Amino acid sequence: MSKNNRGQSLIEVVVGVGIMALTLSGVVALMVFSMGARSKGIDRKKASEVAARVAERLVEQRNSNPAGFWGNLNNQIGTIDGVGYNAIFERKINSTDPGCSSIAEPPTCVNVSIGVTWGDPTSPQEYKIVRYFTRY
Amino acid sequence: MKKAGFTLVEMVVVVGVTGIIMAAITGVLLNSFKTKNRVNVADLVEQNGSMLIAELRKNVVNGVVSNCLGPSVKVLNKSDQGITTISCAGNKIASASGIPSVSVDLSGSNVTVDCTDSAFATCTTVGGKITKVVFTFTLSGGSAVAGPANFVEKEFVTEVATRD
Repeated sequence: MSKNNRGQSLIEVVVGVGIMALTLSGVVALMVFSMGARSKGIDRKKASEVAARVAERLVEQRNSNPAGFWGNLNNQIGTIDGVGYNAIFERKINSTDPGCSSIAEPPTCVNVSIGVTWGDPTSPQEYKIVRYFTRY
Repeated sequence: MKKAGFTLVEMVVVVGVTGIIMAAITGVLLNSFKTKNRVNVADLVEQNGSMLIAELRKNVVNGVVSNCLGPSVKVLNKSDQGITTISCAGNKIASASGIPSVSVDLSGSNVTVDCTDSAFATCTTVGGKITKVVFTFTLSGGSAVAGPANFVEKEFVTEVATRD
C-alpha cells in the first residue's frame, strides 16, 4: 500500500458532510414551502367563496326587507360551512356620491366590509371584500 | 505486492448505501407525481365549478326567477323575455332556452356532476316573491378507481339574490 492512501482527514469529512446537509436542507425547505403555498391557495379560495355568500345574503336582505336592513346596521358575526366571518358596517361619507348622507337616521348609505379570517390564530390570514349599499 | 482495489465488503456497503438513498429519492419523486395528478384534477374541478357558478349567477341576476323546483329553476330573461330552464339532471347541468339552438350543456365533459345528493336549487320567498336562489352541486374529476390521489370531489354552493 502506498503511503498517501490513508483515507480522508477529519476536516475533509466535516466539510463534505456540511455541504451535503446544506443541500438537503434546501431541498426539504423547498418541498415544505410548495406544500404550504398550495394549502394557502385552497384556504383563500374557500374564504372568497364565503365572503361572496355573505355579501349576497346582505343584498337579499336589503332587497327583500329594506326596513329591516336599514333599521339594524349592526356588525354581524357568523359561520358558513364552518368558516367564520364578520361584517363591519361603517357609516362613511362618500365624497364621490353626493346622494349619500351618513348622518341621516337611518343613513342613506353604508359601507360593509366582510372579512374572513383563517389559519393559525397567532398569524391569521384574512380575506376582505367591501360592498357599498345605498337606499335611494 | 498487494493489488490496490475495493474488497467485496466495501463494494457491498457502497452498493447498499446507494440503494437506500435511491429508494428514498424514488419515494419522494413518486409522491410528487401523485400530487401533480391531484392538483391537475383539483384545478379542473375548480375551474368548471367557477364557470358554472358564473353562468348560474348571470342567469339569475339578468332575469326574473319564476319557478324553483329543486332540480330545476325557470328564469325569464329581462332583456329578451325568453324563458330559460336551468336544470341538474342526468349528471349534467344544462340550460335549456325556449330556442333549442341556444340550449347548452354547461358542465364540462371532464367532470362529473352529482345531482342526487341535495336539491340543486333552493329558493327563499318573501311575501310571495323569490328573493334568493341557492345553488348546490357536487363536481368530481379523475378516476375513483385509480385511487384517492387521482380523484377529487367538491361541493359548490352559491347564493344569488334576485335583482328584479
